[in-house]
Amino acid sequence: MPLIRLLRATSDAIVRVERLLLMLLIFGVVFFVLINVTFRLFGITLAWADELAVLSMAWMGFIGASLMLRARIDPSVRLLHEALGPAVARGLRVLVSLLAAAFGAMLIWMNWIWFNPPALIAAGFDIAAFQAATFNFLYSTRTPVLVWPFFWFYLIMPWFALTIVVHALTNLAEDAGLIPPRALAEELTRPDAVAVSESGR
Amino acid sequence: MTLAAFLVLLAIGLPIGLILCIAALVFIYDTNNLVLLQSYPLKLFSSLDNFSLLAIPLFILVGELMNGAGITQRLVRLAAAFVGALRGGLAYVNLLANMMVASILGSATAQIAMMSQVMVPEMRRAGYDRAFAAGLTAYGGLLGPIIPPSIVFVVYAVLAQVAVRDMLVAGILPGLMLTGMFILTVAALGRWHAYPVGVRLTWTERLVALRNALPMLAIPLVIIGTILGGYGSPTEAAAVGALLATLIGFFYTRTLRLGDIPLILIRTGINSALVLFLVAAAGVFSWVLIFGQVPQTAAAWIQSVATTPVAFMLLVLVALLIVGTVIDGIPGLIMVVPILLPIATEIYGIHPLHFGVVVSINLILGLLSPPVGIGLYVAAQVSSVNAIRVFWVTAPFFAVACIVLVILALVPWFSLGLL
Repeated sequence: MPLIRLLRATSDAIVRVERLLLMLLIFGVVFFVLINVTFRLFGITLAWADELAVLSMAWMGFIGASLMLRARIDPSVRLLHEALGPAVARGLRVLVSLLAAAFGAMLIWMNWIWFNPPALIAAGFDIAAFQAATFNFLYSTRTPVLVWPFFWFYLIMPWFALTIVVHALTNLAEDAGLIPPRALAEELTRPDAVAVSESGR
Repeated sequence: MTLAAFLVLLAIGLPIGLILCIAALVFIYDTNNLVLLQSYPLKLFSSLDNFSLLAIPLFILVGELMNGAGITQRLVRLAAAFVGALRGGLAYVNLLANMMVASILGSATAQIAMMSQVMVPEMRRAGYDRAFAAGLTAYGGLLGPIIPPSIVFVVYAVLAQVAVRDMLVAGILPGLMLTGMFILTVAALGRWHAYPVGVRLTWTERLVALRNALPMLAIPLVIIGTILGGYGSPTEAAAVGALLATLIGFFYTRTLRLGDIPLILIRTGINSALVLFLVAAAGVFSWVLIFGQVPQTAAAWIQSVATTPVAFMLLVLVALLIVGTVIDGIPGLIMVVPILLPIATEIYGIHPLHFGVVVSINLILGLLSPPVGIGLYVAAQVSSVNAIRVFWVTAPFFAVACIVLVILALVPWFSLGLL
């Protein structure tokens, strides 16, 4: 099934990108906050550093959520999975992956009507004309301090929608037995991995 | 309709963040407010565009760095050096170490899993009942999310739109109260069950343990001191704490290596995203609920059952104990606060900080209540004992925690006195 192999390859590639981005973003959050703390000592407040820290964090939230979905480590109530035996549990897992994929598809559609590319093209990429026609100010809102277009930061939403569809479908293929399930890297699945290695030292 | 969808999705094991997102969609279609669909992604995004939330990744990072710097072991040794020689010494060590480790991970279950691996084998060797050791560690784990810096409280502060600092301060007395009551319980049980007496160390050995642990203790002290002294926001305090933990790990304990940093960053990212996505989902969920006037409807129903603030508080206590048995603290908070908080403050005149302390501790305690408390099962599983036996052996702690909770619910001063 080359199509399913392609799906999983895509999902794996996305996971690698997501891990890298996650590292850079958390580093960015700490860096921007620390810059601000340092300058605060000299009585200077850098509002732009706070703004970049918050926006990095927002990106981190969605990228990490997508990664968690693939690794199946997001918080959920698994009582029925444990109580009703492996056959039912497998059925429930299929259902969960299906619903996650459906939500992702729905989110793609909601992003489509939000970014509204057809109206943008119809307006000839003229933002003022677009706004007059749709009352949608997405392309002209700017961040309060740096006054950068918010649009670039909002792009995380369609990307997030896309990645959860790919990850959920890959999980679905695993649940349906089309491809062997593969555990993601240990550090993503074990909340206490560092603690264990420490007590073993 | 939305409620039915919510419960079904919860039962089949859909991730809680997605449940909130999908329930919001069901509500939009159910009430035919389709115009909201276009603003849905924006609302999801802007829930995270909030300065107060920055404290969460930073607190988590401090926790991860301290783990990597070998802090847990040293804190256990420090506690053992000073209270280990008492009757039931290791039981006190367990509680104190738990208090000091005070899970910056924000998840009681994670702290219980971690501390069970350290404490249960040690208590077992010293001659304690295995089920008691597992249970006590579970109760010690409850202290983590209550004593600041606490991620549960940061999340509540964001949901309730109160200052993060105030919320953290409000948790101090209740945390100390709970620790004190647990310690008294160990003392009483120790006489009854004749707990083993630990080895007495010389003062030189004690000083060595203190010196080894001192820099570690500096981290929570700097964080709490910065917040209480008003020198900086909780976020900035945590950033300084993270820097300090990195320096200690590299140059003092030398257990942190440059190669560990990517792993620590990834785990911080994942654990933060776990909380952040829930907050984002709660954002769309409560936005849609308010649009549909759900809090008002719920308020009308609750008012017909509970006529006084005390009756309301007691009703909330019982309801949340049940919610808490199946859902961890933060997801639980995110599901109930948008509905219950407006009712508590507007109708019953309860202070939002007081309500936050009670609700958070209540949900965390729910983790240890039978028949399905997750925390109980984690502790039992890590220590390979029967969960029901763990509950019965440590039932006095459950009773004490319930009493403290009722006192906190009825006397606002314990939450508001330090402000």
